[in-house]
Amino acid sequence: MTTVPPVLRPKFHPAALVLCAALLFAACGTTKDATSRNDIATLKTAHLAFIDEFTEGAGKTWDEQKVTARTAAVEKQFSDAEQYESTKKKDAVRSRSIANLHSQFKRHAGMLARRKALFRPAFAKGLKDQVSDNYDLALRGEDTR
Amino acid sequence: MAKFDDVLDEIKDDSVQAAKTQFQDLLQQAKADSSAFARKNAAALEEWIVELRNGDLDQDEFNELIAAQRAAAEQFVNTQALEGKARAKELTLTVLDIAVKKVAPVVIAMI
Repeated sequence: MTTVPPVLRPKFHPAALVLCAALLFAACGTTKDATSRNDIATLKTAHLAFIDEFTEGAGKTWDEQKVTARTAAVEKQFSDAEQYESTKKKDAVRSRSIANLHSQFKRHAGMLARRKALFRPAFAKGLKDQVSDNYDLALRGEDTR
Repeated sequence: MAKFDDVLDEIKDDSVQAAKTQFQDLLQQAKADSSAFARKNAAALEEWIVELRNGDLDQDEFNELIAAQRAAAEQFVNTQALEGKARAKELTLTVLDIAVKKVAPVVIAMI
């Protein structure tokens, strides 16, 4: 007669494991959020379009009202994204990332307002490379959560 | 249109020769480095210095690009392992600092 080995029972209750995983996840302080990722992607498009719109080109002239209106529109997009972040569990990494991108936009809009002149093509190219890299870094951060 | 090496060759000011040599040396190292950030940083810096010399960028624009690049470089250095931090700093932040403090003022004076 063969002896049946005793069934190995898990040492932890499954619910306890789920609880531990949840606590660990919460402790990390960074969570995936499709809306946040979409906000960053939308801000990238808006920021790059802003630079394009106010770069010297055929038929373009300095229009302060247009700059003010477009700056306000992009600022609203940043505010909405920041507002959304503030309504949920604090994610320090994402908040810092959006704050950095926002401060970069403020500098660019501020530069236009201060100089009262459209961006020159060489400068705009350098700006767009940097802006693109910074948003891509933030988006990679979202994708690796 | 001037090339990067031509722009540096134009710099004859004795007071910046040591900085110029260090700048060239660090840029060469950065361009051969395994880090994509260091290589891209070096390439962008060379391009901006040429554009500054050609008048396609003014000092204000150049400084803005450097300031933003510096912020990105600080983040890059902070992500490096302890043993690689000093080299990463030298190939990015130090190069940017020499560019803005030593090279750019002389290039602007040549315009």
